[in-house]
Amino acid sequence: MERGKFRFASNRLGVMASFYPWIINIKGNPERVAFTLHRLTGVMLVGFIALHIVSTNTPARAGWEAWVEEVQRLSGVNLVSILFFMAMGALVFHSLNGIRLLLVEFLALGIGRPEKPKPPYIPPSLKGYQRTLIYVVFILSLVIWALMGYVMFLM
Amino acid sequence: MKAGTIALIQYVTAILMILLVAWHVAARIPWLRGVENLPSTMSPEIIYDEVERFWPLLLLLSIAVVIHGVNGLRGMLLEWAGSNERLRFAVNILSIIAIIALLLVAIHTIVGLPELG
Repeated sequence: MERGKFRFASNRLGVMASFYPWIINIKGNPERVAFTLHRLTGVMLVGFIALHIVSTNTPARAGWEAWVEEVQRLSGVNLVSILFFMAMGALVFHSLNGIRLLLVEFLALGIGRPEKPKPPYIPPSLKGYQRTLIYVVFILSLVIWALMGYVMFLM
Repeated sequence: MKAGTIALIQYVTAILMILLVAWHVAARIPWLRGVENLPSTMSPEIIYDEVERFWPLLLLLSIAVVIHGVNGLRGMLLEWAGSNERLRFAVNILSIIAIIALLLVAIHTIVGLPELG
């Protein structure tokens, strides 16, 4: 349904609403995209952390020879190294966006000052430089992820 | 535990992780280690030395990461559980079990590290 500048795509998405960045379809809406990516990367990272903790237990569990074999799986392009690379991408985005969230939520930076509502009723938080920070996070994530790819696959 | 306290724990672990994860990832940069590639930064000698010298930091990193990660997932699952009390209870209990299990493995990694042959 249409309601001025905002279009509510659906209010019946249930749990999927958490992963649907366009549920409130404001033109642009990088905040919602960042929120969704933060959740998706968070879920990915929980899986990665569990695997990482179990795999780094290898020396204690099976000795150093098994550890060397495990580390060698990260050489070259294979399923393990590609999954590891994807986890690193998730880590970079989640970390940088987490820093942005700490700045915005903890220190209230970049969200503008409270003001009297007036048409077209754009919240001051959408006009502050927190939005610029989102684009900085997107770009920096890609740059750092690409550097990680260089270290992983081209060195 | 109050929801506000859990949210505060989430923020504190996030702040801790900014520093600890950056250090943990930087330790795998080949140029900083003076080695050729990523797998070389994880040779038994380097890992043994790192665990011997920095085990308190690694333990703190494990605690922060596990609590932050599992608690974050718990938050999402509680949204899904809605007002179903049984599901909410199950999610909370499974989260506590997951935190304890992962931390026990992390502690075993440090305590049970074998000597270099």
